[in-house]
Amino acid sequence: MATSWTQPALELASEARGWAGVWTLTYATGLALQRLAAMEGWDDDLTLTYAGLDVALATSELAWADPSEPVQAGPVDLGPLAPLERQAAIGVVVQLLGCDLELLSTLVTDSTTSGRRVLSGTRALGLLIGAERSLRTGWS
Amino acid sequence: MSVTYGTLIRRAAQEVALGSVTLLSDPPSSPEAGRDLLAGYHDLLRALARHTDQLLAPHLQPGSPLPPSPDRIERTALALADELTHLAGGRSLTMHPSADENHWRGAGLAVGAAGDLLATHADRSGLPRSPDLLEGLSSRDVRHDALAHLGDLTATVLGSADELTHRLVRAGLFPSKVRSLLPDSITAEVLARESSQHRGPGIEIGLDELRTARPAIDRTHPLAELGDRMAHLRRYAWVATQATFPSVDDLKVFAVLGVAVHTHAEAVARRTPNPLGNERPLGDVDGTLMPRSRLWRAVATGLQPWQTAERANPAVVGHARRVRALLAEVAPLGDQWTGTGVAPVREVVQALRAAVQVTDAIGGWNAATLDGLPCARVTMPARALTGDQVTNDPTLAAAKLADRRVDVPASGYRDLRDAYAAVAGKPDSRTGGLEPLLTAQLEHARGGSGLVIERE
Repeated sequence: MATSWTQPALELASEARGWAGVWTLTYATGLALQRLAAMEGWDDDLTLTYAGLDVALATSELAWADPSEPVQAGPVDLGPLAPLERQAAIGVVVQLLGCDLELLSTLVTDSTTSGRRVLSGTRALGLLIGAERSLRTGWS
Repeated sequence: MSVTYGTLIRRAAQEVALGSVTLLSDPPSSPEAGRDLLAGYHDLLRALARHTDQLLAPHLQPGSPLPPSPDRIERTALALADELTHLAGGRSLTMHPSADENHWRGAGLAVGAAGDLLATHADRSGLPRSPDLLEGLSSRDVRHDALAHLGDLTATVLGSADELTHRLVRAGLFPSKVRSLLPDSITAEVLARESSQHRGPGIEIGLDELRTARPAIDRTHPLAELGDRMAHLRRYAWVATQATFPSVDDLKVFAVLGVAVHTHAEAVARRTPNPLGNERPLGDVDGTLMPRSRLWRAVATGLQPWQTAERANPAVVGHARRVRALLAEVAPLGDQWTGTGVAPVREVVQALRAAVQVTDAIGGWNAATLDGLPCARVTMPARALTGDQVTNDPTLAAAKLADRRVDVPASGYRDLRDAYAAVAGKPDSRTGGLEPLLTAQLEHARGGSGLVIERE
């Protein structure tokens, strides 16, 4: 089921490149999760709140390795959420997170990536994997 | 749950009493046993002297004028400490502690532990490590009360000197040796009596409930562990108020903690409306717990776009993560009530009530941290600004269109300050964009059936 987030999320994922792209995807995912968590009755089990925090911490980890990243990346917001089913909106976020994880995994395993970035990227990866797992568990 | 200062001092008093009783009922029967008993007695006098010095140590009196000028009561206590050191000698006689229980040594250990507990709250340069010492030893009344209690304890210990002398001689020690090791303590007794007379009601509100600033985590029981970790988080929330460059990520973690604690408390309150079996309910679910939970969510949502260069304190993240797991274990969300297997409902309720109180304190300190954030270090993407926030500011509006990163505008701080004030139950400062949400919560609370969560 398409939501008002589906198209912006697709564009975001398709345009994401390199570390700046990872930061953008991660930041956007964090904002989206907090928006979802703030919806009345959508986060009774706290999954969205906890995942949102993990993603926020991952965002800071990514910025830690290169503080200039957030400036270059041009952060995005998926925009206000139209009234729609919780499941569909979470589905968009899970897909976004999946793209983020894929891109980040490629970057941290790239032999040309500096050690500092590999480490901060791997820490962020751990946080994002945890967020994705809890979202998938709550979603399915 | 870690031990309190008051518990340790009471323990010392009990050991002193047992020491006197044992001296009568089970006196030393050999010179070796006599020497060991005497060594324990001396160790206790030294511990009392050291503790008096600690109570008056400048570095444990943060906020006091430096150097502190002792008043008459404090000068008496210092003179007593000198006298006790003279009586006990500088070095412990304990060579090979006997297997027999030595209650005076036990009392000395308890007094020493109480001093160690105080020492965890400040570093040697006088910088406080916790919020509690500022409310404790900085107050002259609290210091006087603690000194009076110590004077009382010392007077009691010294009251055994004559009997101890008698028993040591009976045990086979030479009278001249005993006299040299147990010199006349009348000066100390006078000073101890004088010290003990300045006792007020303050100990109960002063140091009695003071715990170590960094309690060991009791992992043998989930409720104990929950209390210990919340105590650590409470201290870290205060530490953040002292930081030069606080991290907004810490504030995000604390906000999620606030959501979690209130949501789990709400779940338990709904299932067990009156678990204590008396007239006192856990708290008003609709009037307090749920609105507070939503307000913490508002804080978390407001903070999400914010960024600082400083990452979260790993200790804050770690403790909060473990608290989440513990809450799920002892007070699961949803319909099931599996927590009953972990602990009696009454204990779960008490632990949650305590946790809610800790989040109240954390909220207050988080608000102070927010006020101390250097604005130039806190940025956010302009696209995360709301329409209201940019309407009257062409610069922000342009930044939003151009997708730039900006310093968080004043309106963002105002909204968050409002949310923190509301979380703390003080929505007086409402001025910003969260007004509709806060108003709705207050209306809801007024229309609710009643009570605010019980505070103990």
